[in-house]
Amino acid sequence: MKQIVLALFVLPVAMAAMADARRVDVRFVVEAKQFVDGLGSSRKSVERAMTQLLLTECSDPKSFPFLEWVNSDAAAPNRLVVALVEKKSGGDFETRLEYRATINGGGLPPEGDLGESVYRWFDAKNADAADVLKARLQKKIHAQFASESFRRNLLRYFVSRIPLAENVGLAGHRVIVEVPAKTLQANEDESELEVSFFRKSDGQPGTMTLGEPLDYPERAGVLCRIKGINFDDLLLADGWHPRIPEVLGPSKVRGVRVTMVKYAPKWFPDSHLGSVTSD
Amino acid sequence: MRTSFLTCAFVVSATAFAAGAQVAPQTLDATLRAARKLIDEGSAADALAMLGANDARAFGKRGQARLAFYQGRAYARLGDEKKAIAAYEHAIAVEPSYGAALNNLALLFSRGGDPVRAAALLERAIALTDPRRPLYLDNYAAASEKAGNIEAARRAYAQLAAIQPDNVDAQLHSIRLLDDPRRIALQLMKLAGRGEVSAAQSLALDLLARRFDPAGNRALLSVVARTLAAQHIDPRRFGSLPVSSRLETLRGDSPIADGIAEILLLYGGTAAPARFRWWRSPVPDESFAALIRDIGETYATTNNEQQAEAYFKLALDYTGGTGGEELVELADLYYTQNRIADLDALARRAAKRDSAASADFAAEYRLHVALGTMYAYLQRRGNVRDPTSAIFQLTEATRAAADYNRTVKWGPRIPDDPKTIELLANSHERSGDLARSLSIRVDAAAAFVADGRKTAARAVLKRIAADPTIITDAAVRQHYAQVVDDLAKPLVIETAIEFPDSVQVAMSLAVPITGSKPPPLGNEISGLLAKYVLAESDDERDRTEDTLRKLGVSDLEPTTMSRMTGEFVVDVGGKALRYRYVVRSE
Repeated sequence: MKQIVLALFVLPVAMAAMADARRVDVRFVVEAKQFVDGLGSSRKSVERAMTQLLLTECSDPKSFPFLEWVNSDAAAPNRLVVALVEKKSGGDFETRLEYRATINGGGLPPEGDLGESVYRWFDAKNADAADVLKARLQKKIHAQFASESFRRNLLRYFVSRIPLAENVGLAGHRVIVEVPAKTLQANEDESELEVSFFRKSDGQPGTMTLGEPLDYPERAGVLCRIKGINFDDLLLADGWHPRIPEVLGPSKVRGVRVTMVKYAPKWFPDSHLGSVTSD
Repeated sequence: MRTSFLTCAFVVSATAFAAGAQVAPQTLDATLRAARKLIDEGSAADALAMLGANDARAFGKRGQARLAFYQGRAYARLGDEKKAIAAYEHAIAVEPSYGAALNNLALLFSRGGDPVRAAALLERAIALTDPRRPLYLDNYAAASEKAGNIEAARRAYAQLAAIQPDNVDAQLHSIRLLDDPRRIALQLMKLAGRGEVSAAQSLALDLLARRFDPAGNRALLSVVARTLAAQHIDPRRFGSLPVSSRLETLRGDSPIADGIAEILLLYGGTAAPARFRWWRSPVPDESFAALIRDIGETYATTNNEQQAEAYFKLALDYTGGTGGEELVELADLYYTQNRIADLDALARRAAKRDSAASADFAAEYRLHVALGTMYAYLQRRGNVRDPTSAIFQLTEATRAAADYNRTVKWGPRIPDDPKTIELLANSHERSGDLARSLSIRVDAAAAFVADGRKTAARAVLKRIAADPTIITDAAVRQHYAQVVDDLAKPLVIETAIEFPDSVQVAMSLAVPITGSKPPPLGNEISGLLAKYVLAESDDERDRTEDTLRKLGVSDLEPTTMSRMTGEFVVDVGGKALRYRYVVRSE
């Protein structure tokens, strides 16, 4: 057989453990003092409703269905907190949405591009009325997630940093990522994965961009084309370099992480370029 | 192979298939799984060898068809289209309702230059009850378009877009194939409104290159302006973006050249009202107003207050002084710069507006609350006749909210805001009218209690609760006692949902023309307009709008948030006439 199938970066990590790495605990919190004071005990109902909305929006097929979005999971390694905050403006306070993320215990600074004004300082805020606030927030958050540019920003800021796998394999000149296509739900033509790693000997970092994540059920994963590599002086020819198996051997690299850096939803499962691949 | 690599167990079995093509008996599913794996890995020849080693007759009809299907896939992968077609045809001959085989065979025909045959096969596939029907529809639409059957393609894409509303490609295709540029523009506006701004803009720019009639091109350029506004582009970056060069390229198209020039002028930093004429004619285009406002807001957020002011003023001039949003932005700018004389001039200007003309009470409410709040913080309490005072503006806000709430039969209303009430009551008290202040507090508290908003009621009553003896009016005191009593009771909320008994729809020509009567379909349009306005879901509203479109109604544009009033265009005696409508529900 001409095809060489190799497991690279093989680590004794069970699939269940990787599923954990993909888990994101999401929650909504009201921190703006005017609303904390005004809402009193109904603050919890606002937080619950908005957390539920965020769970739905984040796991929507057009958003990021390849991550496991949960709530109230203290063990989840990743967190996304959307906070209703206030900042001094004009004669009073402006109320804003703020996105804060934590990946594997490490916090990211709040991202300005994701923030959104909910009430300007001079607006009627109805700070006591949970239903009024819920309706307002629902509209704002839904509009945010409907926006392609917002989803792109959230992917860049947070989602693209969450590891989907910690090892890859080679099948011929293609790379196997052991995340099922049904989990990724990624359009092969537009989605891209990135493999990042470090050379064990000197810690030199490298990255590899993968495209066309085709369903590969035999390994419960996807088979990808190598679109680019950024390591040493390797230059790809026809999506391959003969040194790739040697450079990326499990004894040579550490800290392997596969992340989704560009995502478009796959609308027709079990197909490629219009053809059905699996009956 | 380097010894440090671990080989996987399945590799061994795959190698065995490849080496001998003689396999031990196994189940059909296992054979097909292994064949599929080989095809996916690029070993289609090995897959064929393995599939060929099986006696198809042993698997029954379904099994034979499936074996042929994977043979078709393997041949297609090897580039042998003739054999792939034969294999798929065999699969279909054995099992005529094999959707996957019909689909793959159709694709081969389509790629081979026979889209008519492809469409015929796919028509069979989409008639099946098959979970892959959306894929078949997508392929059918593409094949139909290739075959020149645009109507079938448009219908199929529209069906797919309805099944997969978030599938942007399907939405774009269904819009692209419409023949009326104004309908295209309307659908693109909707797509942009659902967040797919870049996609809508890109298609509008593509279609502008096709050159429709002047009105069509204008409508498409309006989509570009609206989507630019939604992208919040910093004017300093605009020149480096692809959209800028695409617009430059389209400048040679004379019907829209001036419109494009004005967009570029706007991003270039020019805000002199006299320079913007194209977008004002025949009536100011709201998309361009949104673009002016957006650039103004971008300047405001980047602390370029001078430019922000110039753009907000331009927006105000462009809308004929009726734009509530521009007034709010300018007021905020003047407040933060402590330019009180300018704020006063603005408040006077706002007071002179004919608010009934716009009938946008929600915008009206927001403007008055904003101005009232600013004057309250400036301690300019004034009176109900002075537009440059908190009392005037906050009283007007209360009036606008009541007007708005009167027009809304269901759906969200403007609720009373305890902070706004507090500012108004406080202003009255500090301007010496304690009695008015107290009655405002008690009345508002009673309304809050009735709405189940006890926290809000307690907040506005705090001043009185500290010293109830300040109420001297017996009626107010009695009312206060009642409110306090109600506050102590457990909360009971009764909600009555009332549906209108009858709906009246009035239509009038926007530009009266002697002798022009409503179209013969007037009654039907009236009924649908009522349904459109009172629809309880976006889907129902979209369906109704679609039906209206089929009756010849275009450019349906509600002018109020409640959609109770609006405009549309309909063909009457060969002339496109613009009508206004008002829906009243009793």
